[in-house]
Amino acid sequence: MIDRLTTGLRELDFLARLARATSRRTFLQWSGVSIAVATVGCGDDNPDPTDPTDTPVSPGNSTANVPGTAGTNVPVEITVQARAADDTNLNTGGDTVVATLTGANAGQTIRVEDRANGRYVFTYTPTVEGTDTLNITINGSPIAGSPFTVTVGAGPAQLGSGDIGVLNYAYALEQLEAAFYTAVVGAFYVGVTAEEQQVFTDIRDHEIIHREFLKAALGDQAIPALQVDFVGVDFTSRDSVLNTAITFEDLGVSAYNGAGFLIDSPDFLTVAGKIVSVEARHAAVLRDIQSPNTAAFAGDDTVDPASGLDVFRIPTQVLPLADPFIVTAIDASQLPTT
Amino acid sequence: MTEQTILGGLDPDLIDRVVTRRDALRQTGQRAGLLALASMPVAFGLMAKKAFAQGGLPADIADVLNFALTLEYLESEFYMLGLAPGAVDVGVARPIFDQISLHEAAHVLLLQQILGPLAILKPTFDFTAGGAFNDVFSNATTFITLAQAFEDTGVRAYKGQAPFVQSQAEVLTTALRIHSVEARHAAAVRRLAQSPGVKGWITGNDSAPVALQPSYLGEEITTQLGIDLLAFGTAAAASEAFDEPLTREEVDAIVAPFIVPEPPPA
Repeated sequence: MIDRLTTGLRELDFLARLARATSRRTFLQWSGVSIAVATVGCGDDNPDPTDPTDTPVSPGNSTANVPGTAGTNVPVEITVQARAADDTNLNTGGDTVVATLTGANAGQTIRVEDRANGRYVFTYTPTVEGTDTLNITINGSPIAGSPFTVTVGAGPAQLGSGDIGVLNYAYALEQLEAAFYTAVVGAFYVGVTAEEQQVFTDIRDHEIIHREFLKAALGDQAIPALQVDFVGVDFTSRDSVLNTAITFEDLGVSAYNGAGFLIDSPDFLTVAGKIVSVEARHAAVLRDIQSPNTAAFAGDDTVDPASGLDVFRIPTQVLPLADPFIVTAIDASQLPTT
Repeated sequence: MTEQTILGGLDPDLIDRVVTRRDALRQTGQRAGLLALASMPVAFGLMAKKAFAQGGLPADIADVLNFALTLEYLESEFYMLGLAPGAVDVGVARPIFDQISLHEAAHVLLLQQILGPLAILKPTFDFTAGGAFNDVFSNATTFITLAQAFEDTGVRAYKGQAPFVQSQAEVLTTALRIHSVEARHAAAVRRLAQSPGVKGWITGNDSAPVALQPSYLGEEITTQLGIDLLAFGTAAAASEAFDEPLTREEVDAIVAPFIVPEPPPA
């Protein structure tokens, strides 16, 4: 153990010197523990007594804003403020600041940046839930509050990139729809007709099949089950249920129409096409139930009468509209945009 | 000449804005342009213009669009004739058919605009299919039966062509936006064909008249991307939940009886 520690410290020292010689930052992974070192040449570990601005750092007075909680796949950013013994903030960089990560996410890369103004910014991205411990030292001594504990919970659902991202996006919308119709069919509003029961039951069955199909197609890359919340929907009211259903179906149609060009695989594009026309059928039938024998099934509010084209929306237009109904945060930042 | 064809009918100020915008879009990229122009009906004239400016629509894309135009010509004329004074009495469903007719005419115009001089001429149609549907424009049941088959075939035809226009984001998105409108039409017409009208979706391979059965063959499948949907629902629901594409050859065979062959050149 001592041997290993000694080797490690030597390695650290080497890296610190390497960092001085080459750049302002370095990081390394070291058998299940992550360490980030910030240091530069002419550092304050060798204060120049003739320089009035070069106040010596006091590790015990220095602070860090470590968050107590974090979410998986969301970067954690920690700013260390170097301070002098009298608690004044230092405004120069160059101290050797080391962050060591152990616990649930030990081994994740920590990046560090010496802002050269007395602040050192460390970032790492936890990927598993659990407890992380961060030891932060300046020039070998712990700063105030170190070691820090970060409790990592479930982060937002990461849709992912490329076709997987687009399929997860569709999977999220199908989850929302399936959950909605399951609730509708689970306790129909008073006065529901036989026709309406049949339609809602059919649509529920379709949406469940869409959801389960996409989940199976995505395999282990599928996002988790989303928590939904239909607060604001009155399931005892025909108007409320029909309005919400039409909103979801039209949104789904526009979402698939606006995601087709983001898909690379012709097979996935065809499958999306197979689903979207069924969503459009749903929308038309629900609209016809709401306003029988009128133009509403393909009304001018969704089909531009001049061009005969349905609405399309790109993901950044769709997700804010779905957001009020989805509790689980969704990270769509990696979705393709072209 | 091309500009006149596509933008000739538009307000000069609008053309100016569109052209200016096009130049700006060139710098930001083709797909960004698509998004910026999404809500502008004139975007399609612009799209064609841009394509011509770059040396014309690729021949294979124009070919697909002309295939779509043929179907839109067929649908548009079908409703125009069927809804003419003294023709079919569709009763309370009249507003539904008027809306469909409006959309099909708009689709014809849109595709003609995109294709410009490459647009094919309207074929001559025979909606009796050589006598198989002699009362198509006097009997509402026959009219609705054919309308349903045309709409469902249209949905399947657009779906089948999507991968062939995938390289052109604007064309693909335009085709998808027509496709979902055809599906809305198909659902509304399908309910009119039932008594009472309930389902707007295709169960199994339907139960159309024999002459129209090719429009539905293949719709019954319950496996997608190798995934067995029967694990998630009934065979009926699994077939309803996914609409199936048709190849161009299949669609050509379906519509051939309704198109009068061109006489050989004299």
